[in-house]
Amino acid sequence: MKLLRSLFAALGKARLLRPFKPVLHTIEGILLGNRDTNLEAPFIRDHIEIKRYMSMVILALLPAVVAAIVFYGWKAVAMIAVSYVVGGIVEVLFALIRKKEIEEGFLVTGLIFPLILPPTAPLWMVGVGIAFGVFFGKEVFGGTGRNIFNPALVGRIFITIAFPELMSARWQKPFTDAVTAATPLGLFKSTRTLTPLMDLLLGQVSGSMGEIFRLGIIVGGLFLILTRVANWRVPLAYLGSLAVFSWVGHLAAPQSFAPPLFHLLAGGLLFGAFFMATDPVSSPATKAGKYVFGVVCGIVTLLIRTFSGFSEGVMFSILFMNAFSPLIDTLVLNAKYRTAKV
Amino acid sequence: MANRYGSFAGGYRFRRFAGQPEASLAEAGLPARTAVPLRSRFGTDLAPLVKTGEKVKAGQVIARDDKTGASLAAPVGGTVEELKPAAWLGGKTKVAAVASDGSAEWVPLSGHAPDWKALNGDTLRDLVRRAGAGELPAEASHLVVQAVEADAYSPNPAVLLEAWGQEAFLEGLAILARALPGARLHLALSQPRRALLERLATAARQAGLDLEPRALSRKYPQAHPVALSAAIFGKKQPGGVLVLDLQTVFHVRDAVVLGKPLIERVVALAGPGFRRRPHVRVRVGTPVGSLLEGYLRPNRQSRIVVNSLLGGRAVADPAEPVGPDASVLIALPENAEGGFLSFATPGFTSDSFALAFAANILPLARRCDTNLHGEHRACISCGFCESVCPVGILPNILHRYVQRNVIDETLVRFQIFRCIDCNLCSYVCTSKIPLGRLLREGKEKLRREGLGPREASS
Repeated sequence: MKLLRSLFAALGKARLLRPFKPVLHTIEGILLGNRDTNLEAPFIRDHIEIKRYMSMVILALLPAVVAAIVFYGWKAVAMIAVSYVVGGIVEVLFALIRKKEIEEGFLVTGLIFPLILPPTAPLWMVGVGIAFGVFFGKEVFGGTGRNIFNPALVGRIFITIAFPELMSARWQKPFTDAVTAATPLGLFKSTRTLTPLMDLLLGQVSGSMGEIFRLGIIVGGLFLILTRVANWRVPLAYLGSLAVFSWVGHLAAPQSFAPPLFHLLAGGLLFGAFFMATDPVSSPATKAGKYVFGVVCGIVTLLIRTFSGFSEGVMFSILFMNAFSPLIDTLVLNAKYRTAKV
Repeated sequence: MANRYGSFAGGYRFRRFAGQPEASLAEAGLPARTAVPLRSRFGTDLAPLVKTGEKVKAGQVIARDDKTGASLAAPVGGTVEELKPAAWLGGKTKVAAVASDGSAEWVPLSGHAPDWKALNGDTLRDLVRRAGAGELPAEASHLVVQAVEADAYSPNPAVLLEAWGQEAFLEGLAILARALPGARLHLALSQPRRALLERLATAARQAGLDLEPRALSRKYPQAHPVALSAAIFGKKQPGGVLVLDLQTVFHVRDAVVLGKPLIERVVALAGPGFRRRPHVRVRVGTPVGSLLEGYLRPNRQSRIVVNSLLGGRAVADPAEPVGPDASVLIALPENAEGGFLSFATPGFTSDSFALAFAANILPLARRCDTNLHGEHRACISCGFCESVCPVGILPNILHRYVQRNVIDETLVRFQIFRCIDCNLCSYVCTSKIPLGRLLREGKEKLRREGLGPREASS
């Protein structure tokens, strides 16, 4: 510990390394923690910090990551590695240019992004997507905490639009080399066939790399909620509204609306509801706003899945509602403090 | 309904912090020298009535403000050695240094009466004022006596009761009831003290006092008047609620029955920086440094914090005296080192609102120190501050306005003036933003712009 301290003190003085100060400081922060103390009340502080907070998200993602690696082998490892390396370079470059700290949020973005890609995505596309997501989704707004959209989703939507044939027509079931054309949602849309729920739960279907092992996602999501890192309101409202409206829809028009359990387990819904809609930065800050956000996300997802040309609508609905988050917060605050007179 | 107890929305329970005060009472004895800032409870300076070199008796009035009648008694008998400003008080207010002559005696207040039942309310109020025990209002609709243990470290009410005796408590209560006719009496203790609470309420009833027992939550800041009112009265808050802490009841009783001015306090010692942590009966004015000498761990550097780790103040100089309002002294270990890979450790003893540490499922005592435990970052809207806020405002929204220096009616509309400075938002913040300080800054700037609440601006 003392040795490391003096090493960093020496490195900090080296003139050659001066431009890399943010990097050095970040490594020092990771290894040795912060030396600042509280000079005024409160004299004690909670042990939670952003590093730990983000680590909890990564911990919660582990079941999905392990499943992706088991299902797709080295391809999955390579995709995650490319995402971290390219995203990391963008993040570090920005930290150096802005002379600010490297922010921990990127560790989550860099892991979520490959997990929401089809396993057939070429590695160069992973790099392009994460670079675009980190740059346009986060850095241009000023970094973590100031971004309007979920950076991983910004990257995903960019490559979806830029390379549609690669992104929508090539899916691969776990443990097979066969490239199929349809996900369970796509199958329902084209042929009205319902994939067995057990296959969905255990991931024996095609889909994005990290979204198919749904059992693990549910476990990870519940873990996040139990640790209070993810707020329970968003996933509850999101999943609840989708379940209710698809149930009503299925009763009214079973030919257009799939049954609620299928909706809940198919596609990227669980992953999106637990890991992306809960992103505290890009979702509303107020409690009531979180309910509104979740409910509308559910409705938009259902509408896109049922009536649009796309078979999946989780990504679009979350990004769409990200844009409305500040407005929702403003409306909630105005309603809450409307009658308040001081 | 055996487990029902009063509480309030929000707040945070500090569980099992290492170094709780022991349930014992020690006598600090007479200090060789005391320091008495010549300043009233309200922060106004008092004019000295004695000169350097003069002999004084304990209890003798040595400073007074003729306008308000506020006065200050010498805590020990002896010689006034010095009468000059001290650096630790900002260097303006004078501090009297009184060297003790070794006698424990004190001069009783004139007009005190063991048979106080013959005294009227105004005489009682005057005695309490002259004793330096506080200012009783002419009337109140409710009197809440509280000894709620809701901070990370709180004094033990059972020890206080033992120090003075249950009879003294009942007597003090009866005096207050006489000084505040028509006030309903409540005693608020923490929920685990239910047995003690019932015992005291029964004893009070036998003594002819209608004392309402109130078992309350242990969530911080339950001891704050706003949280007390919320827990006791619910949504319909009555006006005219007077809150006194338990020790003040004893001071009132001592002033009226014995004529004893507030020259002694029972102060709890707490925190990992102490070897032994009894409650100590100590003369007011005793330098903190000399009081704690035998109790502090020798090989550890600690910061001494008065009364609360969240809302208290730090002792900057060991020459600073124990004040008449001191109830806990906390020795908080200094930690300017961080820790190796601290964010990734299991955290067996780490306290956190986020249930992200092993401590949340283990029954181990939690450590505390002065470290920030993380680095400053931008707000990520995790919502922790909103969850713990005891008055239901949104520190995460409000602080953005103050940071951007947008100080206008919006802040007032968003109820910034409901903030009670409990500092819990700063405590739980994931991004280590000093939310409490920013809210205080915002309130101050608003007041300067004349946008403060009505009672403050008029």
